[in-house]
Amino acid sequence: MGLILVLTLTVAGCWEGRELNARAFVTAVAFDVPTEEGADPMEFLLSVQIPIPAKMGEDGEQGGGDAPFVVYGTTAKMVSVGIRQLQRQLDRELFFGHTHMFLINSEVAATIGVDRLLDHFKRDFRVQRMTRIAIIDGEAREILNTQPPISQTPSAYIENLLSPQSGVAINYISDFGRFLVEQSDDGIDPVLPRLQPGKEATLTGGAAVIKNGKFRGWLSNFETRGLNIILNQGTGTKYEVECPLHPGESIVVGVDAFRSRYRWLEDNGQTIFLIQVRGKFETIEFSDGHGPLAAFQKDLEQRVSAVVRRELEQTVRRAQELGADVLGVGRYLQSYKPKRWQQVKDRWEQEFVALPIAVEVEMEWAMTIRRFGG
Amino acid sequence: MKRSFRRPRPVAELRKEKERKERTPEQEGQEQGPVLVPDLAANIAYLEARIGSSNDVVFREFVIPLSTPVRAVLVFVDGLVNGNAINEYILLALTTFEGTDAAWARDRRNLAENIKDHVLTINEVSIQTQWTPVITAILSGESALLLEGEDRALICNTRGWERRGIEEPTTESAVRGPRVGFNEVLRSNTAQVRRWIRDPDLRVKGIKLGVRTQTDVALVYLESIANPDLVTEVEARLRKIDIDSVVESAYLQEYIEDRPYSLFPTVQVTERVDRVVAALLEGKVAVLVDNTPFALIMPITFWQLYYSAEDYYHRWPLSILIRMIRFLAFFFSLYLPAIFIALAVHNPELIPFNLAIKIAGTREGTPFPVFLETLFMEIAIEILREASVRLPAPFGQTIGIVGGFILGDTAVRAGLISPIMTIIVALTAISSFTAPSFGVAITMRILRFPLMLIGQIGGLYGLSLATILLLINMAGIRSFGVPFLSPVVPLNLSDLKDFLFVAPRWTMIKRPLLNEPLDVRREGSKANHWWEALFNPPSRRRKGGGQEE
Amino acid sequence: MSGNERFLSSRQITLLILGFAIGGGILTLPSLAAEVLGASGWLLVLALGLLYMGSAWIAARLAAKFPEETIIEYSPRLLGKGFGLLFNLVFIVHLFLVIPVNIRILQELVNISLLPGAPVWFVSGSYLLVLAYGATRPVDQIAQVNELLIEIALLIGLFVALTAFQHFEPLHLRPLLSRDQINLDKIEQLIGMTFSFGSIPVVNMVVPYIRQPWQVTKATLKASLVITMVYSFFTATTIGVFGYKETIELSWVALELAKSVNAQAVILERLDLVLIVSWISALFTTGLIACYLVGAALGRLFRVRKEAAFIWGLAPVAYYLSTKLKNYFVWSQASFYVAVLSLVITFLGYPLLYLLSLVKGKHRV
Repeated sequence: MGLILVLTLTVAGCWEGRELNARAFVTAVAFDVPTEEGADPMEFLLSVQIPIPAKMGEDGEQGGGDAPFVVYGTTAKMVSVGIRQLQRQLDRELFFGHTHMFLINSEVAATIGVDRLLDHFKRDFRVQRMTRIAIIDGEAREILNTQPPISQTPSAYIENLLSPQSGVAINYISDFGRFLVEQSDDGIDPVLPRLQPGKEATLTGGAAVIKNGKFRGWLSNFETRGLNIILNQGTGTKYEVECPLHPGESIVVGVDAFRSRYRWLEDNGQTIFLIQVRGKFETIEFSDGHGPLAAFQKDLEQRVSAVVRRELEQTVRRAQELGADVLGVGRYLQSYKPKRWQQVKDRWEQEFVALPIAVEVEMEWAMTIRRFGG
Repeated sequence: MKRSFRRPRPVAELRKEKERKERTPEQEGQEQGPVLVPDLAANIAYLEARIGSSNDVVFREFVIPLSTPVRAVLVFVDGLVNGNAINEYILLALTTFEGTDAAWARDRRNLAENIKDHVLTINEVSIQTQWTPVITAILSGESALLLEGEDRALICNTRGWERRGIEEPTTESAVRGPRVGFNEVLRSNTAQVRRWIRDPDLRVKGIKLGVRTQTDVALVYLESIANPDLVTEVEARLRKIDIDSVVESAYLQEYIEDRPYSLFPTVQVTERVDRVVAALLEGKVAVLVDNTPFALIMPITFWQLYYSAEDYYHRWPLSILIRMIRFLAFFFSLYLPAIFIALAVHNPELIPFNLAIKIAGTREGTPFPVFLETLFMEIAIEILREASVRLPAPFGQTIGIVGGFILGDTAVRAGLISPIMTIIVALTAISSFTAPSFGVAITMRILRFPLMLIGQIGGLYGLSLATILLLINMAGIRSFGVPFLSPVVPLNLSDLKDFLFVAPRWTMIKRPLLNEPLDVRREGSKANHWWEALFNPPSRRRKGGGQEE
Repeated sequence: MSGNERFLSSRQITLLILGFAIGGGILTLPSLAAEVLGASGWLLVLALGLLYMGSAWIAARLAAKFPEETIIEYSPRLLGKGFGLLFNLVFIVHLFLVIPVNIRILQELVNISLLPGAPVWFVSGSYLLVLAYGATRPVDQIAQVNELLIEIALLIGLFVALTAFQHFEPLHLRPLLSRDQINLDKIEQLIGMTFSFGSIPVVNMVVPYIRQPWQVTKATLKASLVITMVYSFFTATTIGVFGYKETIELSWVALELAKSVNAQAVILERLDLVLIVSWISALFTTGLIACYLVGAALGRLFRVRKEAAFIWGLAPVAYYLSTKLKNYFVWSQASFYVAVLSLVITFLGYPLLYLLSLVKGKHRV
């Protein structure tokens, strides 16, 4: 027994093993523009959010009004250096094994680049590829400081906002691993979700387009929804269309089960890139007195198709405006028309901007009907 | 293929054995112990000198009323004999029989045979001329009848001593199944086995072991099923035992085990009759020892240590569940504290975030590092467990309350240990109670402590290396020629049906092949392969296999 | 008790070959394959596997011809004394060199994830001790341990690969054999890949212990087939998930694959460490079998029965060599040399021996 004790005391805390309480779990990392005047343009403000275990463990009896987490920040040029600076004021070792999010301010993302900022974490084995990344339209640090309305930690709250379970189709779902893959693939530019910090709550929706590792521009909420549909990651969503029988009145339809596919059509030197989308919808709400009618079935299908098509076309137009191939057209070409890709790959950005892209949408009223009549 | 019993035998031993074999025939002639003499007084004097100074040895002198009356002495040990048998069938028979003038009564040369043949009405009588068997017989409850002028003794079976009734075994209780266990009387135990298996092939071989205790040991097997190599090997190992005394079957267990220094038992110990019976029917061999209810079964595999007799009495889906849970509990009882330490110290990223932060929260301010905390709690549990076994039953509950309440609750409230630790330690302790065999539960308890240390030093890497080491060690063990880890490795698909899950009974058409039984197929099944049986359950068959009474 | 007791089933032979092959190599194999053939890297793996199957067939035929002996004993008879000895030495050295590389891979894996900062003497040292202890056990015990460990490792590996399918992009596997992705001039990577395949020597060393020596060919071919399938499937999955460009950039591709898997249903938060923990056993089987083979080969070469002495004697050498392989680049260089030796033996040694055995066999008749 004595031997074991001696052994333990001498070898305890061996290698880099630490007690749970000797580690500071970093749940989220934020990158911002430095606040100090005259900072180097390549410098950034690195903030980490650390939950306080003692406060998280309680059911709020003694916790009082204090937030159950703290946020530390420092200005640095390299992430590792920043971490070292943060470590100076902490008695516990910063631990990134539980980091759930990277939040990057859009200005920093544009000047320094997402790729460059995350280089340290790419090489840290403890950081998971499932970690979420978001580009912040505003100050990223502010989000870390917001006390969430329901969830206990802001990180859990934000993570849910960025996850598929939040149930809105206007947020783009991505993570660290996917970002890295899209970053390295030819012929596709990665997109990251957008977050907007507010006074009361953080808003999700919209997306940031990244080109060559740097922030290029925003996609609006509906453009993001279109992108989701085109990239086959659409969750169910809703559209409002005009009632075919009563102009001015509207019908809300719930759409789901999208399938999109790409086609490359070449016709006597004329090339057209075609995006074909199929989907199903059901009627959800009527503003006038009648319910679903067999009479306007065809008409309604066409109207829904038109509404969806308009949205997708807007997405495509926006992507071409930004000059970023977020649709993965180039990747499609590389895979299915490798010869064509050989010719265009060196000047793909110009090619993509000038590429005629057509959208075909075919929506079917093929879901359940629960109630006829008003 | 011949069975390979990997038991290292040094050259010296082989040579000695050879010499012994060569010497035996001549020795038999020389090795005559002291013999009886045709003088009653001298015989009695000899006996008194050997065992007579104890006051429980009774020398009953009387006269047999032959034409020329013969003085006789009946020697027995009080308490070991059945008084009625002596009174009615020996004394009464010898003093009041008819035909005292018959022809045989005058033939004094064969008096002993004649008395045995014509007078004694007791069921088991033998004639001995040497002292050693006579004395052993007296000491095991038989009566020796010595006659005047006769150098032979009549040994009558009058055994009958106080015994415990047949009770439910306390160490292996079961919800469903027979409520009988062995008791301390060998004969009664072998009789119980007989009652179960009415097969003429059931063999009960008697061996006496222990130079001083002369304990009866019975080797029980089914001749038409058990592999003869196995039987001879067990018997040879038993006969090789040179031991002063056999107090409990554990004495023999240590002598016949393949790996006496290993932590794992390679012989199964049970006090359930049904377990022994089931083992015999699978082609195993059982060793019953007098004076203990614990029988030894061999060969066994590691997994069988975790089988309970009850597994076969429930309907098969339930048995599957029970067995899975038991193996899970086995894993917990061995690894849970070690894995917890490894994760908490080296790889907290493996613990889900919410749990990790909760654990960290509850550990805030506790004075000891995780490892020491776990170690203290485990030691406390071990002490509690030992105390509750030693204490008389009524106090057992007190220990539970004192231990559980004081140590657990108060220590947590005082902030000495974290609540999560009590959960883990309690789960570990409860898991270790699910082991149906006491022997293997102890192994797990011993192994848990080094594993905890390894978890602290080497983290998950250390644990996986330790597991590999353990596996290497276990793969090297053979229990009477059967690989300890089979049927998993080497894989045996047929035997796998009775492993993690228990297949429906009618699909287990073969006895476990590991024991290499002579008669592989279980009787009564018409199918050739288990899948045929699976799709043809008994209810669908037209003809039953039952016999008319 | 005679030393040549035949207690290995043909299934165990298959698993021994698998256990020797599948280890550290597979973790980097997709990376190398992608470097040479781009998106169609898995085709290269498949082709290599088929090539090795052919050589496995020759080796197994050779082994079946001498069911009572190992290659150490019959190679001098076939090649002549001098060349036979030379062949045997090359054979043993190439087996021996597997050990330090194996130890180094383990050290790197452990340091990268499970125990960052753990010193070499602790990790490599304890591993080597267990390795040597295991290798001194009788061959049936080694076969049993290998059987259990490799099955567990493969099951968990398969589980990880299947769960990673949620990120699978069929686009990543196209186009087939695009000209601009093919770099056949990357000889080093090409040969480095064969490091994962060279498992055939097992069969020529354990054939005296096989219960049914005539089944050895079937068992070897089965093993080679499984290896080929596992490698191709795994490479295809990896490239499909990451795309070939990202695959090239990652060092331990398999671990990254496990890291990208979201398995919330599992109690543990991440799968990568679970994969590493189980992969330690796959690495261990490689090292264990290599150690055993070296011991057995030396024992046969010098006609001594004390294989344990060789194994314990060579352990410090293996340890010293493993410390020399200080980082990824150095050990992959070392594995390249091992692979070259292995190539020479597999595609030169075996066919030559087989041909000679055919010729000499005829003479004897």
